[in-house]
Amino acid sequence: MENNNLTQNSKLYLDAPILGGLLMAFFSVMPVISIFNLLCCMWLVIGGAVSYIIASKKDDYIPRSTDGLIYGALSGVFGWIFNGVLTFIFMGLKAKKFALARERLLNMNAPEAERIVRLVDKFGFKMIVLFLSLGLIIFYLVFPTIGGALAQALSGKNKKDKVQKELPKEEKKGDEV
Amino acid sequence: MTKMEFSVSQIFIEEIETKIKIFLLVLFFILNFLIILPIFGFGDIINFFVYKLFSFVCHQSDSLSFWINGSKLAVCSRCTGIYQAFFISSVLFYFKNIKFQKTYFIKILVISIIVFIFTKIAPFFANLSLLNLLRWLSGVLIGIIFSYSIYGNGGKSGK
Repeated sequence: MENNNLTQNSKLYLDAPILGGLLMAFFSVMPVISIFNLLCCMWLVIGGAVSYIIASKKDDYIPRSTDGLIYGALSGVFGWIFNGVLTFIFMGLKAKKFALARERLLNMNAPEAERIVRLVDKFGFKMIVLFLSLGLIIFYLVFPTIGGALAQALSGKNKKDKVQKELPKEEKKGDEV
Repeated sequence: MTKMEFSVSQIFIEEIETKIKIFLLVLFFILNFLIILPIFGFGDIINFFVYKLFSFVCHQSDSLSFWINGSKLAVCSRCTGIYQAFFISSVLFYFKNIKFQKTYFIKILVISIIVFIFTKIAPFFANLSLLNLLRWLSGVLIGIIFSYSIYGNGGKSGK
């Protein structure tokens, strides 16, 4: 009986994590709105939570205790990809502003500012953005997963017994066939 | 329009759950290491990348961060609390197989909100070191909530 439960197939929706990922990446890249990420990575947590909520609102959704984790983690992966793409688009659009900021930093005559400019020049601005975008994966894997799990915990759908109540119904259907 | 959904087995889901939980533990171990990396003085380049990376998720304010050996940690005192508490409580929850109970969850959530609000009032009467300690405590509670929501529904096997 336990084996039947384990081998039984259930659905995993992809549109929910894609939407959640797009939401977190968009708000994380936008200049003013992205500041909310300083509050425990708010957009990333919200993105993960939204992806779980979207999936749980589906008509044929069967609750599983792991859904928050899985949808959160998936949305983080999509979010990281979208974030990379959006960052480079944004960087291209704001290239002139970045050049101006570099000149301003040099004109400040502050040793700290000069040191930063020298570092950026050493590696190249694009390379630094690329390194940082790659490094951001650590946050995009952690915080959306937490967001998904939090959403599930608050919705009260992560109790094992609730999930297992749903499963035998499906099993009975399978037995009848 | 094609439906964007996959059919997956329950075994696969259970396996993924365990893997995500272990992976998160490893990630938080790395994050905790990165936070204290600037105090080892590995050089400007490494410090620059670590501070820049964490600037995405933290304000890194000088006065609201812990300083060790004249070097600032990569994140503020609250975030330090979150990362440390998440890692430590996750390890405990993972091996202790704690069952999730919503009442506990809500209780910790309410306490952490109260402490969080208290840290906003504290600057009016507390000195900076006490404020940082309070901020760290609020971070610890948030970290415990985060880990409880993930590891609270079962440890190693997710059962």
